[in-house]
Amino acid sequence: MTGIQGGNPSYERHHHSWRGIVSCFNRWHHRNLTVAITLAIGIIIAVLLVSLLPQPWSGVVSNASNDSSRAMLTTSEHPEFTGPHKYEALTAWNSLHTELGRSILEDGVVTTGELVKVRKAYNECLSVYGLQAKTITDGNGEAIGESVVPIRGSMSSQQQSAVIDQCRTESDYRWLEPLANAQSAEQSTKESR
Amino acid sequence: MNGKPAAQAAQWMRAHWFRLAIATFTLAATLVEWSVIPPIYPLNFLFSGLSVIAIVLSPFIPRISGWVIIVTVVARLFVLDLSGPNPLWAAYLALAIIGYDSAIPVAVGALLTVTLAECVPVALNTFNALSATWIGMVNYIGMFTLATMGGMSFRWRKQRDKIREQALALERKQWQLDTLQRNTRLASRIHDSASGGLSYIALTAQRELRRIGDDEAHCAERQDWQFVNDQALSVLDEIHHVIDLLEQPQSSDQSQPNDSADSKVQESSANPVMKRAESPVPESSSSSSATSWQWNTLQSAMREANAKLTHLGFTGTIETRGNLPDDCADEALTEAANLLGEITANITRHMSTDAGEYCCVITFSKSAIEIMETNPIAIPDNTAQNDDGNSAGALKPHGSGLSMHRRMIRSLGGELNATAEDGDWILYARIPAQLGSPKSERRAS
Repeated sequence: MTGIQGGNPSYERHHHSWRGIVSCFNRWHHRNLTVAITLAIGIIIAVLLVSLLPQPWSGVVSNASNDSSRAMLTTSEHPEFTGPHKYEALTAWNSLHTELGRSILEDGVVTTGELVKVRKAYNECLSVYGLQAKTITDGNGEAIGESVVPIRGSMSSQQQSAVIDQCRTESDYRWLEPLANAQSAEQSTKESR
Repeated sequence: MNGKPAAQAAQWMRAHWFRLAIATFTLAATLVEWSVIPPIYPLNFLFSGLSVIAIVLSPFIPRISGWVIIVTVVARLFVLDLSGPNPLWAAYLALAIIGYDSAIPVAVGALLTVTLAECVPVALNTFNALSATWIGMVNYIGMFTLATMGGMSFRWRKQRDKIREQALALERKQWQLDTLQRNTRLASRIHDSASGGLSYIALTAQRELRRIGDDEAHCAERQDWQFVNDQALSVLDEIHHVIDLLEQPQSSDQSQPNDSADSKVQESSANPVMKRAESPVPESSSSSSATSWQWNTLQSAMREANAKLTHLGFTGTIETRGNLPDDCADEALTEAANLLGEITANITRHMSTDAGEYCCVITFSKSAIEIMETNPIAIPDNTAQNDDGNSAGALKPHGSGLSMHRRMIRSLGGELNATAEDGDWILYARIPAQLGSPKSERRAS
C-alpha cells in the first residue's frame, strides 16, 4: 500500500507535467498560428490594395514593340516661345508625354536643375528594366556623353535599345535634353562674348 | 538590477554574433542598393520593405524571417520591376539561416523553392530572369546551394562541438566517480582497520578508569589510563577527520540524505541498555568449506568481534547459519567481515554494557550473505555513558561507518538497511555471493 501510495504522486506529477507541456505547446502553437494567420491576411490585403496603385513605366516594353505614341494631347493653346530655339521648343511641346515636361517647358527655358528632374524620371524608367544611364566624363570631369548600362535582368541588346528609346520618349528626356543643351550652349556663347 | 538585462543582452550577442554579422552585412548591402536604385512599383516597394524587416528580425526569429524573405523573393519575380535592392542578398541570407536552424529536408525544400522560382522567368524568357540562358542559371543555383550548405555546415560543426563537450563532461564525471569510489574504499579501510581498534583501546581505558576509582593510591595509574584514553580519542578524531576529507567530494551527491539518515538512526540507537552476559564463540556451521581461507577470514572476524565485546562486558550472540557457497566472491566475504567489525565498533562505541543482549546472525545461501543484527535501544533520558560523567572523554559517534559500508554493498549489488523500531535497533545487510561480470573480469585481470 505504501508502495502504491508512494508511486501515485510520482506518476501524477509526471502525468501533470506532461499534460502541462502539451497544453503549453498547444497554447504556444495556437498563439503563433493566430499571429501567422493575422500577418498573412494583413500582407494579402496590403498586396491587393497596393496592386491597385499605378505602376509607372509598365507599358514601356509594349509601347516599344508596337511603336505606339502616347504623347499628350496637342491643342492650339501653347506658350509663346521666343528666341533662336522657339521652333525646337514648339516641336518639343507638341511631343511631350508628361505633365512634368510641360511644366518645365512652359516658360520656354530648360534649366540644369529641371533637366536633372527629367533625367531622374528617365533613370526610373530604365531601372524598372534593369538599366541605368551613366554619364561619361573626360579627364577634367566634364560630361562628354552618356551611356546606358545593364545592371540586372536578361534583356538582349535589341530589347535594351528599344526600351532605352521608349524611356527617352516617355520621360520627355528625348526632347528636353537637346533643348537644354542648346540653350546652355547659347548661354555660354553669350557669356563668352 | 539594471545591469542584468544589459549583461543578458551582451551574452546573447556574444552567443549569436555570427547571425548578427551576416544580417548586418545583408541589411547594409540591401539599404545601399535601395538608396541608389529605389523601388519604382508600389508592390515592389512593399515586398522590398517586408524583406528588409525580415532581415532585421532574422537574428531573433530566424526561421520565420527566412521564410518571409523567401516569400518576398518569389513574389518579386511576379512583379516585373527590376528596380529596388537586389533580392539575392536576402535570398542567400534566408537559405543560410534556414540551413542552420531547420532540418535537412526543410532546408532542401527552401533551396528548391528559391531555385525553381528563379528558373520560371528563365523558362518564360522574361526580362527579369537572373540569366538569359540556363548555363548562366547554373552559377546562381550553385550560389544558392552554397549558401544552404554553409548554414548546414555551421550547424553540423556546432553539433560536433556539443558532442565533444558532452563526451568530455562524461569522461570527467567518470573520472570523478572512479576517484570517489577509490576514496570510499580508502575511507572504509581506514575506518575498519584503525577506528575499531582505537575505540576498543579507549573503551578499555575508560573501563579501567571506572574500575580504579578516585582514591589517592591509584593516582598514577589513573593518570596513565587517562592519558591512554585521551590519546586514543585524539587519534580517533584525526582519523575521522581524514575520512571526512576523503568523502568530501561526495557531500553534494544524492547519497548525502542517506548518510544523514543513517547518522540519525545511529544516534537514536546510542546508549542502549544491555545486560552483562557471556557470549560464546560460535561454532562453524560449514562442513565442506570450513578449511578455506574465506571461511577462516570470517571466523577470525567473528572471533575478534566476540572477544572485544566480551572483554568490554557486552553480552549477546554472533552465529552463522547455512553453508558458505563454494563460488562466493572474495569481495563479498571481505565486506561481510568488515561490516561485522563495524557492527562491533558501533556496539562498543554507542551502547552501554548493562542494557541487554545483542544478537547477530549471519546466514549463507547460494546467492547471498545476509547479516541481521539487533539490540535494544536505551531510554532517551538514560544518556550517561560514563560513571564519572566525563562526556568529553567519551567516544563520539562519527556517523560515516555504516554509510561507507552501505555504498560498498550497493556497489556489490546488495543492500544495507538500519532502522530503529519498537525499541530495537535493527540492521539488515544482504551481500550478493557472486558479483557481476565486470567485477569478476576486473578481479581476474
